[in-house]
Amino acid sequence: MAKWANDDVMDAALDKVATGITQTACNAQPTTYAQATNDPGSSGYALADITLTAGDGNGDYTIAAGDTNGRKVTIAAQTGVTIDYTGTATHVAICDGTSLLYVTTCDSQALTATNTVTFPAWDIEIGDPT
Amino acid sequence: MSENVTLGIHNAKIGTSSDFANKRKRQETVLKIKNGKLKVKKTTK
Repeated sequence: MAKWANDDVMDAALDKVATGITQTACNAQPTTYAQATNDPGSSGYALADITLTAGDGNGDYTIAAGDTNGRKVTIAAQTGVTIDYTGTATHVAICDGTSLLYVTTCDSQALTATNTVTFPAWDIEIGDPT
Repeated sequence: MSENVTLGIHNAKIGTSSDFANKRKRQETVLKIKNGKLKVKKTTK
């Protein structure tokens, strides 16, 4: 007997991620919307931010089969994003208009205000049940 | 002149952390036959 989940189940979770409209580079792990979207001068962690177009297939999110199994959502690359605040980026967050939805890590990268940063494409994957 | 840097973003997998794997391991049940009797041993690692 194998465990099994319909792709729609995994896609529902990934669709929720794809409601995100803001991606930010943060200098610490945010655990709240305010931390993820405010800059360090306003008690937040955001050093740079870019607006995303919500929804699978609308340009910034693509939901597809996972690399080995399951499903994944890929967030498209965002190039030349203006850096608002100088600091070292260690995390990348996605938020909708009111909530922090997802946080991943990144290699520590020094960011300098007024320069630009590129967010390469990355993905969030949910594996099949095991 | 403005310079551009690129982040090394780490891809994420849901439900595959080492912590999750350890929890699964702690719940492992081992069945053994000793002297003709079935022994059930639950690992508590």
